[in-house]
Amino acid sequence: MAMNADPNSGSTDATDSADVPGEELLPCGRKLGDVWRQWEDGLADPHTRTCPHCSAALHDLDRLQDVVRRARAEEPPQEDTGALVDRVMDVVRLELRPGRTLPLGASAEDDWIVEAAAAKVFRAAADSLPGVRTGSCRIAPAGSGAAAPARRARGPVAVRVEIVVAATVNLQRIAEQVREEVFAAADGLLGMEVGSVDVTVTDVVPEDDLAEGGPR
Amino acid sequence: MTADGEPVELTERIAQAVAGVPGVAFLRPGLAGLLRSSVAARATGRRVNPEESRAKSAVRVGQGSAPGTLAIEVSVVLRRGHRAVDVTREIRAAVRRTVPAEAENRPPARVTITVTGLV
Repeated sequence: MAMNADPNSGSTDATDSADVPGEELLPCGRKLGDVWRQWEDGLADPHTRTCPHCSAALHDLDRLQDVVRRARAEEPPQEDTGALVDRVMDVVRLELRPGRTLPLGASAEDDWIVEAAAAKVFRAAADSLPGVRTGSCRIAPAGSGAAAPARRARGPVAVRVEIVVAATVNLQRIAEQVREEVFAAADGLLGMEVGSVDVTVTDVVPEDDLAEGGPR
Repeated sequence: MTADGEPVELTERIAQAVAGVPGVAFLRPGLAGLLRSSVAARATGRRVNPEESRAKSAVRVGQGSAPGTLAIEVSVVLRRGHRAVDVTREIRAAVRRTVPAEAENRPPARVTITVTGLV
């Protein structure tokens, strides 16, 4: 069982690999997704502040957020509007860092889903269990190997999910429950064939610490 | 005409058909493409048509591998609460209903659906 010295290092989406195919490059060579993320994290460097391309991209991000805020204000109150901004910005981030393209449905079909969207569903399924906080979730076409997955290979996928658990839970039982949740979500929410689910407990923390992480 | 030589109207008709399928939130918005176009437009001084950019991003109509066939690629964001593969199958059916009227003499098109997000 792997133990991770820094539990926060696991709290990422599927899209945090160093190089993701299809990332948008600005004319200055910076990745649009990186520029946005740094800005949101308050980490913009001198280049970003002075580069016209980065500045223009950040201006567009501001405009986009304004549009979403206005849309939220105009939505009927009975709608679940509380997290609309986050949801729309999630869509934008998914588009910038989609990860691999994975098969949906049976082998003979031609339906697909990006890794980041599927991973979000699986993470939410695992997070629904008490005493579990889900970190990274990677999904690979089965048999592809992690190094060089075939582009658009059909067949059951292999899921690898990292979790931080409360010290009060039984590790083996909670790992099995996470597996069951992921299999159930894959079939019931997506219609994705999953061949295997590997669960890694990266840390065991006091229950109170787990709650402080909050829902993500 | 698109870069692949298909009428823009076919792309638009497919986009409308897809958007009408229950469980579809919206076509892949192409926000990254829009931003890139915006940045490029600032650099070159040219205006970019946002609608054209969006349609190109979400629905692509090209030539299939067999002569005379179409290959149609659709990218969509779905609503949670709908089983994704059930929606993509409905999308395919909707696309196929749209295409024959536009291209009566062609063999069935290959239709590829990609879910790019869930909201």
